[in-house]
Amino acid sequence: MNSPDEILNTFASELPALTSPDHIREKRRELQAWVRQQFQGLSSLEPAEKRRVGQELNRIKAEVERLVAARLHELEAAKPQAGAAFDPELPAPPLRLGRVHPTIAILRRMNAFFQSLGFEVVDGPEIETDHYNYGALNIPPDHPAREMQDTIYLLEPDVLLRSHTSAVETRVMERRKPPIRVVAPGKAYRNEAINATNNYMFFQYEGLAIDRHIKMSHLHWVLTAFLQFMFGADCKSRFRAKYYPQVEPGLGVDLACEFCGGLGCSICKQKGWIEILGAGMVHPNVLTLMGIDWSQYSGFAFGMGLDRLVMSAAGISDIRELYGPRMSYIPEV
Amino acid sequence: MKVPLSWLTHYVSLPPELELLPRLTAIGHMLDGLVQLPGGQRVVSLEIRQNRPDCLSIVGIAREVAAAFSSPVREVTLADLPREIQRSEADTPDYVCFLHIKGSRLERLPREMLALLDQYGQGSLNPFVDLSNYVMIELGQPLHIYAASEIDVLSAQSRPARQGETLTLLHGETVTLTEHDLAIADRTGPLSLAGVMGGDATKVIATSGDIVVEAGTFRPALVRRTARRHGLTTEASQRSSKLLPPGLVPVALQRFLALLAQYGTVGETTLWQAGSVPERSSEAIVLDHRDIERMSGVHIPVERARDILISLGFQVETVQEHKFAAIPPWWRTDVAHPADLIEEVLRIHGYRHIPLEHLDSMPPTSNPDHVWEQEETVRHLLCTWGYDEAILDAFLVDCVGGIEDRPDVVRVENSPAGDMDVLRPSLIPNLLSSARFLPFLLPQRRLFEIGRTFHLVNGQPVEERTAAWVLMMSSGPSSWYHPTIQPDFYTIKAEAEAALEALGREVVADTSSPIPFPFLPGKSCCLRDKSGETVEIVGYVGEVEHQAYGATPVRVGYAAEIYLPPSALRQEKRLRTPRREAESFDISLLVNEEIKVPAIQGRIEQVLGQDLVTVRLIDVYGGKQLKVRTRNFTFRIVYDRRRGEPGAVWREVGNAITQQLNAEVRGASR
Repeated sequence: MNSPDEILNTFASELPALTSPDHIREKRRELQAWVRQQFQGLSSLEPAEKRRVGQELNRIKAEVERLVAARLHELEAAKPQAGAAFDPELPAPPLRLGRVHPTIAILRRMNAFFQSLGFEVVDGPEIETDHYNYGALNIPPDHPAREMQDTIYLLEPDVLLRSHTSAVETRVMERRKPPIRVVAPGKAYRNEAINATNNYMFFQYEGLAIDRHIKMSHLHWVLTAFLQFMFGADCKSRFRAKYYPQVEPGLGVDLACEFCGGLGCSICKQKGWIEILGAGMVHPNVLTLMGIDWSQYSGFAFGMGLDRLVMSAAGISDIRELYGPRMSYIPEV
Repeated sequence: MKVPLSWLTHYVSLPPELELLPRLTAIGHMLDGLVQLPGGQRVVSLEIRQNRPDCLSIVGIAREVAAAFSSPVREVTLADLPREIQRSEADTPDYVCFLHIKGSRLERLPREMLALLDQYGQGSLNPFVDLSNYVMIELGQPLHIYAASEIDVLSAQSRPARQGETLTLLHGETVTLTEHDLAIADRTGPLSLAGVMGGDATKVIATSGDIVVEAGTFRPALVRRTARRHGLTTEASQRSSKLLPPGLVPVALQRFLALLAQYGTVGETTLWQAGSVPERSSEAIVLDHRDIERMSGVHIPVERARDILISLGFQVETVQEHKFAAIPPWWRTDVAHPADLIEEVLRIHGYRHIPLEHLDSMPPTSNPDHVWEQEETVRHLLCTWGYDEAILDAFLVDCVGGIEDRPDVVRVENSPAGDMDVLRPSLIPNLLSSARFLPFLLPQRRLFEIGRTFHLVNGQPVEERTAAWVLMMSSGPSSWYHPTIQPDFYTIKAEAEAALEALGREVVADTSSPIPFPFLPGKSCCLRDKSGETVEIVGYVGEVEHQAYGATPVRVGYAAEIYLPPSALRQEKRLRTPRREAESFDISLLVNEEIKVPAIQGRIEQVLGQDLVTVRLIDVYGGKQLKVRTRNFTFRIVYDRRRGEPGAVWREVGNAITQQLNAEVRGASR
């Protein structure tokens, strides 16, 4: 009987003559069968001998695999490629990476910022009830936003497409106890005329923090840091009083118009400022409705539309391009 | 709200514009525009929010300016109304007053008043009407003038119109009313649209005679809907569709009477009232002064806070060391809670005083919502595979294949775009529609979307978080290099399975369940959850019906749609990794063609249990050398080597399959 090394050497010497992968694999099967047979004979050996022979067989087995793989690779490399001679200067076949939507690219940046402050990214339904979308947010029954002209209603009574992502806030407050720190990006819908600047579907970004001792000064710091993160450390912003039913006190945040540097132009309607988001301290009525004691806890909330931000970053002027079939032509942001 | 600055100076001293306008913006009335008229007068436009109807008036803005700059407001002169109020026969939930003035005369308003109206943009019509407009703009209360001979004040009231009633309005248009419209009517029928516009038949033409001046506080939503239904956005409707202070009704009538007496003639007056004055809480709101700092982080001395509230017209009284009680002025309908008082103090004190206070970071919650991470996982995979992301309409854009007629689609009542009223039950139709716009010469068009799909389940609308992607292979030119393997059904199936596996979901193909359009029956399949006991379908994959992509020059199209699992599933996922080293072997099985691969794989999983790492099909043979109606499958099995030597495990697996699936083991290799 030949020794394992002799058998391996024979195998190695025969391989270069084999030019068919099938023949190579057949040869390998023969050798593997021999190895299996040898393994079956191990049971009659003494333990020390058994270990030595077993290790030797495993070495042979691994070496066979290496030799076979190398020979198959040689054959593959020698095959003519698409009728052309090997030419390393030819362009490699395209391996195209897809790209995320510009809105998602902006969302990623925003999420990264808020996650670094301990905000969790949460989600909520787009089909909402009147309660979560309006009632629980201190929006009175006769508020104009609830009209059919503003809100998109389903055929089922009191069911609607959420008109803002603030609805996610109410769901979070209902199922969690403070401390709460979340952001909720997502789509919202309103019964808007569809044109270059308005769409019935748009992206909003909502934030909520509730804890003991949360103050407007915290909100001021968070939003200032966020604006500097998004628009640069030298961006100029202002905070002004503004009414929203779900917050009290409420505020609007503007950025100095980048086109005129705050002097006033047609883009900012001569204001020198462009409104960027709304915010405020969560209204006591909202907290009370959600079972949170206003005398113990306080919180801030903010919300902003993303579309203008994305359009500005991508350099497009028609919102229909963003959420329409031609989005592939939008530059990456 | 347009505010001619020269009009504003009648009631308050103005600081320079450079101080005034930013300050108004800062306290909540954002500058929306500034116009300089040919005569040099300047008119500012301010954004007045829903909660401040009192600021839809020059006097309202004057009060804000006065509070912001600590200056006094010059009050307007008022005349007395008749002490005795006549009750209308009618019953109405609104509050409407009719001031009957006999023997009135007004040739014209003074030139200065007409000039102010002109600056505001209100043209001159009739002296009585001009005067009512002047009072409306000055105080914020819409007034309407009737020729006294054309209205029966005894029965006059506001009421819902009767279906089909008609009314010719002041501008000549005749409208047909519905029961949802709010009208001012007497026993003869509707006279005007309440809070919106007067009727032509009752209008005042002369400059003398008997007139009736109407002022009311109506249900705002009804006024708003009436105005919208008839396309009438008027100065009156913009005010009456907000919660005007009821106290403004008598004040506006007093002001009208005073100005009429000053510039014309007033005879005998009678005041009629329909409905009752809406009740308002007269209780004081108690504010703990320390809550201002607790909410804002700004320390404002108690005296300063009191002064601000007093400057805004509040009556303030100290009740305890840190607490004071404040009664809002009659014109404020928006203040009801201590937090409202905090806002009043802060906005006048100035948000610019709010400091920057660092918010400490917070550790993540123990049970986080993984939705965003799940979407990112799928997004990352699809981008790696060459798909571009789209975000498309929530409605079905192209209704093909009868999708819109399915009984489980969700429809909206008031679609923003008429013909689109079906919320998409699948992401694929809109993706296919969009793929047409991708560059024509691309050999493969790849597009994906992550969004919601909508279905009716037991009559209730539900939504699913869904990811879908389409791969459209064109017959156009490719590159010089032709890969030996073109993407096909198995490529996109592998992608779907990999994406679901990344989300912790193992699936098996199911060809027995119905395949929805646009998947092509016979060339598509459902993906069913393998781990759960339920028969939950978690996706579809396959070739797309040609009619779904219409005239697009595509040779063949494939699509996959998967439903993202509940986020908790991620935590339940346990990766099958060998506890020590792995071993492997191949096993070839000859089986009857009715036996499907998942059944064989399932049996192998049963046999090896936790020791199994992977089982993959690596070869399929169905040639003539086999028995009729049989196929040969070769599987590569990777397992934890502690299970035993490959030969022994091969025999164990082979025996089990031979017995249970009537298969024939055809050799083994490692």
